[in-house]
Amino acid sequence: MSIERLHSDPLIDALVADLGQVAPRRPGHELLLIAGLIVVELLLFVTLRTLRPDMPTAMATPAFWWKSTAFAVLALLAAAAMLVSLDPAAASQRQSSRLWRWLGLAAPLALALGWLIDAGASDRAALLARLEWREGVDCLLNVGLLSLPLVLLLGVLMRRGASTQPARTAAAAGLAAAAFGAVIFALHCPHDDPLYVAVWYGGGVLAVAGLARGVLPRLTRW
Amino acid sequence: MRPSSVLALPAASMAGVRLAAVKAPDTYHDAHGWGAMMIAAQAGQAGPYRRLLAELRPWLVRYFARRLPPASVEDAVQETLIAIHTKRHTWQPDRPFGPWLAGIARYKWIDRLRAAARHAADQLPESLSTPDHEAAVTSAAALHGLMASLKPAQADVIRLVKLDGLSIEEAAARTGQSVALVKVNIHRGLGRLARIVESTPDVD
Repeated sequence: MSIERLHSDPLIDALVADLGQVAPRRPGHELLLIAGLIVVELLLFVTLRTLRPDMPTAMATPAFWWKSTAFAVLALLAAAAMLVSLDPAAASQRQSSRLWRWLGLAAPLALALGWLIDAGASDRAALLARLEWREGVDCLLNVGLLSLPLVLLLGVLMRRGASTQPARTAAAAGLAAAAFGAVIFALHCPHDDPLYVAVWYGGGVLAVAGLARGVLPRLTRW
Repeated sequence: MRPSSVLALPAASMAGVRLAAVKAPDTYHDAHGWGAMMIAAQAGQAGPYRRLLAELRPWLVRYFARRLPPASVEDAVQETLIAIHTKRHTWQPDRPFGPWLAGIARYKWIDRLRAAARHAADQLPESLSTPDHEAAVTSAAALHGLMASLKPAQADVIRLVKLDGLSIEEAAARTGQSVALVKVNIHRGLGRLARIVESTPDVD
């Protein structure tokens, strides 16, 4: 095997010339970064906007726990699926397709639970009144705002990673970021009505996921 | 490319129970030594890196020759080498190298199918056309299989123009489709192939 042959490819020459030391990706570190950002955001938010005044009472109701847990589970699943998908080998792995399937199940399951809690509630005001759209829009915007730092971080991680399914990865990044945002905002927002939560929180989360799905693949092409 | 399925054979025999219980060391997956070379490359060593790329190139040429029209193969090989270079930090040394490489190659395969769809009207350069028997059978073998899921009108013109090297006009005369329709069918057929490959992780 001759050295001459190895030297004959200009592209390989160029790539070898460009070689520098790189640190291999560490998903554990990425996870820590995400967790760190969430903690910082949570502390900042609670300090600046305070907890809802009726927190002790709220914590006794299933609706409060439903909305916090539902979005937390969605966020964790989406973040895990997103991180796993940054490895080019992921698409062929069974464990990753299982994550995507759970993620697909989690959203309808959360909605169904909310509907059950709603059916158990006694006062049934007019639907439109329950939506309280003025506060609802504020809610939606807050969820979007709170998701921004995380969308940025996840976008950077996605750019550094190598997803072979960019659309999915981007949507999961948006979903995770917005769902974490919703969990944080839930500590401040006094609305627990499942209809309200489904429409305004859900709408905010979906909007962010859709935006991420549209924008991130373009910025992370490889 | 699925190294684990090859390796599953000895595990299924006598000593299988023991082997399965112990986590396979990565050297077990690293038959070509590519993982070891990549570890050296990540540390910045040019020698092993050059050897790795030089060994990956023919592997990639074979990979894409089975999966793409002849005119797209060289582009796909080069783009994959560049992708391997820019994303070399995404391979984690405690994982097998094969699936990582296969994932990147597959991603670029889909990319090239899309690009070929955009260039539906381009014809094969003279040197690459293989209007005869043997070469046409081995080239793009995997693609031939996938084309069974296309409409016959699309599969026919892709085969004639992109694989056998006929001109658009010749393909039009042969199939009775208009020149414009031949172009549209190549475009739509290749685009559909890209979507099929992308949505079915098992195809390769």
